[in-house]
Amino acid sequence: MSTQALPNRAPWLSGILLLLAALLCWLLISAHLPTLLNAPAGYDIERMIALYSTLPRMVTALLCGAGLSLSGILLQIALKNPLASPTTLGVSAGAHLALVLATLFAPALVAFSRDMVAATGSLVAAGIVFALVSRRNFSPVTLVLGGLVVSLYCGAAATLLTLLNDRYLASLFIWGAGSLSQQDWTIPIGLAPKILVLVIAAGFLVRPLTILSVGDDAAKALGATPGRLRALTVALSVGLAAIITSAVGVIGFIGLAAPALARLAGARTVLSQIIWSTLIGGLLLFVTDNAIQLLAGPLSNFIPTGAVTALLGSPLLLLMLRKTKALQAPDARQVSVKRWTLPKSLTLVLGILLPVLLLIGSIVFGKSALGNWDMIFSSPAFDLVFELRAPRVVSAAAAGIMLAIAGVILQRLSGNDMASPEVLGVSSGAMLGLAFGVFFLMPNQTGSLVACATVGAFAIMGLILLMNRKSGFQAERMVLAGIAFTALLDALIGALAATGDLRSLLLLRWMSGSTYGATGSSTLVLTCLSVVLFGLSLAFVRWIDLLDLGPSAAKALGVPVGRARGVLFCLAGLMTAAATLSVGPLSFIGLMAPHIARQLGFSRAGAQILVSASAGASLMIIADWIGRYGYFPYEMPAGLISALVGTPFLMVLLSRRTA
Amino acid sequence: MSIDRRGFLSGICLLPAGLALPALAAGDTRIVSLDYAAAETLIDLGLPPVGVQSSDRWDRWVVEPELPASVANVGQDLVVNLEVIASLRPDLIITTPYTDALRNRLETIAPVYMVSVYDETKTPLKNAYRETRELGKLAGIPEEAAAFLADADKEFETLRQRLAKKKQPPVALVNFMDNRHVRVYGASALYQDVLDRLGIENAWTRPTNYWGFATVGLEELARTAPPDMHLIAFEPIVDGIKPTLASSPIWRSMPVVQENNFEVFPAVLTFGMVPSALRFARLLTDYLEGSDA
Repeated sequence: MSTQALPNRAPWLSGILLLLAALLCWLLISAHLPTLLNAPAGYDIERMIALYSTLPRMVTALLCGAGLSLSGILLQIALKNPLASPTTLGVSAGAHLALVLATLFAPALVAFSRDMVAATGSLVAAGIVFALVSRRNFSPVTLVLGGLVVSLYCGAAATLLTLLNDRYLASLFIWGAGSLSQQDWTIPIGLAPKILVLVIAAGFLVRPLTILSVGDDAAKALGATPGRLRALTVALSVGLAAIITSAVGVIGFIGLAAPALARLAGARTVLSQIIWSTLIGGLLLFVTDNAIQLLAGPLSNFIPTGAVTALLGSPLLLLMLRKTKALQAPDARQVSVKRWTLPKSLTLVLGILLPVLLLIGSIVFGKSALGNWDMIFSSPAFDLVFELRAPRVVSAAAAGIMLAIAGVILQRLSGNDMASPEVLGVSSGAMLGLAFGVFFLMPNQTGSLVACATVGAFAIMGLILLMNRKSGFQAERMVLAGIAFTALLDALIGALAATGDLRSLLLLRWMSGSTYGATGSSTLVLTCLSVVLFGLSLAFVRWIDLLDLGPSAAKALGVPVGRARGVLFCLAGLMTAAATLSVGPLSFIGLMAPHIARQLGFSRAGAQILVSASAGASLMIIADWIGRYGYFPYEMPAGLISALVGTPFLMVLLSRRTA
Repeated sequence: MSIDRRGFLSGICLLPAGLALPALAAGDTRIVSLDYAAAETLIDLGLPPVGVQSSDRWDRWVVEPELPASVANVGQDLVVNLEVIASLRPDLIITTPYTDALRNRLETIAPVYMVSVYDETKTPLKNAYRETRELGKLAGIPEEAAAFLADADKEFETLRQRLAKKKQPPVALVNFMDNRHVRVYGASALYQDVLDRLGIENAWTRPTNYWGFATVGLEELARTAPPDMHLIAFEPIVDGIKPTLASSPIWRSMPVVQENNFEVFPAVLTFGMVPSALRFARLLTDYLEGSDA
């Protein structure tokens, strides 16, 4: 890397942060300094708080900030990706989910080693992200999309568990949003040696990583093994992030922001990047946390620092994403597709039959009030039960179809395997509208909440379309804008939930997504919409296929590129909004169904849309059925279940392809 | 509704209220309650509901009165299982403002009545009395409700007199959220109304939210509360909090802990109605009588 062009101003930046930190520190503890130094007789709560709450909190902030930033910069160097960090790769979210799972189902594991549980979760999450994007040569944007999707998924699953246990898990909530509040020195004293060991280990990696930064071939010539070195570095970073998450919860985006600042200030060499990122990260979290304490006053204990850093950090991600746009490697569909052995005609017949059979079956088979399996005909309230059950099943199918098609369109247009309606921002818009309705209008009626959600979805979609009108609706940008909104919303909800306001539970229930609200009339509307939009999308297949060839080729073949993109995005947005309102923002059907279709060998737009729609409907019907009876009489949200059902299936398909 | 049963009930209501009534066969009115508070009231009135939300968690949150085994579980309060409720063929469904968003759906199954204890009046106990009378009317047992409330008044008065025998310390009432945060109950909480009736001072006099609690750090509590207060935490307390507290210097050095004025009460339904208010009053009276502050 050419280094000396710019002077390294990172030391200056650190110096400024240090001064700021010292100032805040002084403001917070100067009043207690006399009593801290010589203990007064008797009980002095202010002194106890300064000594056992304020000071350990400061040390914890420094340690966590430094550790997360070190983790971030190591990931960035190893993956040659300026967007990598524990947050953007789903590592922190994976640790969080693992801890929630273990707390609920295997408390003995948590008692044995919190860190081990967290590390396992982090590794699994990272592994899934890498598996998802490995075919794309780890292109920076794709990796981050994959990571954020896994993050969302882990967050969603953690939410599901919280919903099923409501009040019991309230404590996990505050923790999940990353609270640095301390009651004694246990956490900083426990963290310090672990982090120190990993920092020393990182020290040994500096030289080989410097060689690697010259280029893989040069590194090989010098006798290094890039693959092994990368794996080792990633493992170390994941370990760091896991240990910190297990101690204080998810602190978002510090590991992304600090390295970015260090580089911006001029840190170029591997060594200086590592050193200054770590220092800046520690100071940055320290300053943020102390500023929160000063500004929020008595509330400070209770505003989770992790949610604040996420709120500040997600716009930064958007900025960075725009800058790294050029790094994105285009097109990946050149990979040869392993053909499924079934004849296509048979697959198509199955594709139509399967959802229909599932639809009927899932209406007929259910459970009685006492929890015994029975057929709907034997129910003492057949007509009522049918009226309640059938709309849900049909809504699930319609939503599955629309999400699947929206996914196909978005993946095609963006040329990005990881694009899906979840990251388009439309779902987030719907939830934002709901949040507004629940917190400010306090409507008690489901109808008005649906109206709020619809307005929100279209407002955000309009905003994104407007922002991208000039650039000709460039797909990558649209998806990036969407995902930034999603991350922002996630942070907002996290902060709201941590305040313990009962209304946030209501919001969470909506977010987790279920067909619970489906009624006869809403189902009729949804079904009609899905049929019309399905038809429309089939009418635009030619555009989709031609746009695939690239904008210039498409233009030459007579496609009005800008307008075609705009129309297709509107179509995808409409389908997403309609589906979100019935099954919630997070179903991952839109991500999985197009993949499933492609893995089955359907690569032309028309066939892919048909098979995706069938897969989407089937998955959603199954998910809804499991949601109704898996934890009877409690309801589990179909949106989340579909992610649980679909992900393993998707992984199997992906592994077939890479094999 | 037979006269005999009414007579029997008014007779038995002369016994100390809250004594679990013998489980009568479900009466004429089949009620599904989406609220523990209404359910506990109905049980004490002698007409247990046929279905209640999260019945399997009753023993963790309510404990007393005992939930008859015949009561079906209708799922979680905000997403109750509508199919189960429909199959129970109820005559009446009871919601709260918290669960009333479901009203439209529920009304296709049976008439819905919303019990509202927490509202702008901020007098939950008074509202609970009103709603108990209303429930009695709806369920066709208004006299039982009146008798139950009269007995509740009598018992509150007895408890107040027992406590008035000596000067009582202020109490802080909390639920642990995690090892560093508590919900502390104050103005407009059911507990506050009970304290007022018993003539006990609440150690937490600072603002609370709509439901009568504030979520605060332990140090906040230690900083603002009077030094002679007694701190009462309610079960359920999540595993792992007690050992963490035991090792926390701030916790251990708090006067309330040093002087052994910390007590853990069994679960009392925080957002309950008259039965929970009585249960809390009894527990508190027994505790304060036993303490030598």
